[in-house]
Amino acid sequence: MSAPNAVTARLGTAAGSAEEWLFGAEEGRRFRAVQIGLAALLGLRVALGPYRDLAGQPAALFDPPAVLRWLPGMPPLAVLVALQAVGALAALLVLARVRPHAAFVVAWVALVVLAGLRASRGKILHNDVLLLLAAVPFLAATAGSSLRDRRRAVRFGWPVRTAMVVVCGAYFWCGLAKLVSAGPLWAWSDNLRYVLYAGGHGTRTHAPDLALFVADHGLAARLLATGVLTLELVFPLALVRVGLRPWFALGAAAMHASIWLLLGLDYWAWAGTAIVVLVDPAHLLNLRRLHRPQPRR
Amino acid sequence: MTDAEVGPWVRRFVLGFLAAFVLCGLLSIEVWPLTGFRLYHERRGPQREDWALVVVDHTGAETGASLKALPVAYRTTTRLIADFPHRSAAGRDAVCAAWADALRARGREVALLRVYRATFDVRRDEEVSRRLRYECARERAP
Repeated sequence: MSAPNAVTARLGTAAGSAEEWLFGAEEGRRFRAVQIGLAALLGLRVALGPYRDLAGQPAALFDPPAVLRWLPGMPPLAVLVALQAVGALAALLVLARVRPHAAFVVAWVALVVLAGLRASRGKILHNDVLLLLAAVPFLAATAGSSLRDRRRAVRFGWPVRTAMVVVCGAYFWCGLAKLVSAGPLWAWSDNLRYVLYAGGHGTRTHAPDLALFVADHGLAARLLATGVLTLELVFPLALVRVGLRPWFALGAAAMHASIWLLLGLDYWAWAGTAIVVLVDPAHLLNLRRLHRPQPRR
Repeated sequence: MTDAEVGPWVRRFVLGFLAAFVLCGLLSIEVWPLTGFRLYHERRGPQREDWALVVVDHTGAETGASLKALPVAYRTTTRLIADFPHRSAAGRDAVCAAWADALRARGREVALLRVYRATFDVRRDEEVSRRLRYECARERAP
């Protein structure tokens, strides 16, 4: 076999293996747990967002993303409140297992519209994109299940695994964009110091003194930036190492908590999505049982 | 894996969605909520540039105007200024008029707005220079 043919054959085999993994089986309770977790996050984002304050925006300032270009302007307060109520109610219906698939779709659409309207102020916002994208496979997943369902089936597997690819891929793209744009100097230069100076002097930070302290200590800022970049770039390892998934979720949560603390940026939906999609409660419980000391006979 | 459990349309949906997700990430395409994930990706320097909105009153005196003091609907809309070169004069004035009206409604005396491109020293949190880019929302005589 010639070299190009061998490469093509290997790529074909790798793509086949990836597809086989993507459409592999998971337990019904895992599917249901992720569906509940994502629905809860959708509901919380819909209910808690500052959407009502968008009402009354002058038409000249309305600059929606492509998905909402069909709107002539910012909807009135009554429509925004109705969207919030419908979205939050739909999320509750998913939790209560009342038409969970249809309700999930409604909650997702409500957040797409509301978060899209929030991003219609001249600046694209990424706060909700990971949750929205990780939830996409569940829009097409019509399987019914419960938290006690231990049956393994492909119909429970592909939505969970596709969501995992999205979460791991999103963090990897974030890291790659930094690497492509600035190279290793994104981490190993004064880059993060300047970010922290700007954040520490800003109005949104929750810990201005800490932000300025880290900014004043170049090594601390470089180590922090290296940690962030490394975590993002190695995130896809969570796809192949099951035991690492909770640690990656924990790492993502710690990163977003520090960003919230130092810069005041609200990315808790990202942390929540990473935890819901990557952490399998049943797997953690099994690990606890395995490590529990056995009584002596 | 059984095709009986995963219909062909589901397979196409999943692979199509993931292809779009990968393409947007790889080529940095923004089709919200699909995105290129360019979050804080640029390397920052000791100085940063930003738009500075300034109110000019009837005596000609300038005072800063922050959209952060206005309702959420107005915040971050200074980003629209980057698009001003592609807008008509009327389009630019409509944006400025929206800001001016909101500021007047909160008791500010606004004869016109000036938009500067300001450069800040991030470490000292000081403005080091500014260039006038636009004047707009000039109050019309009654």
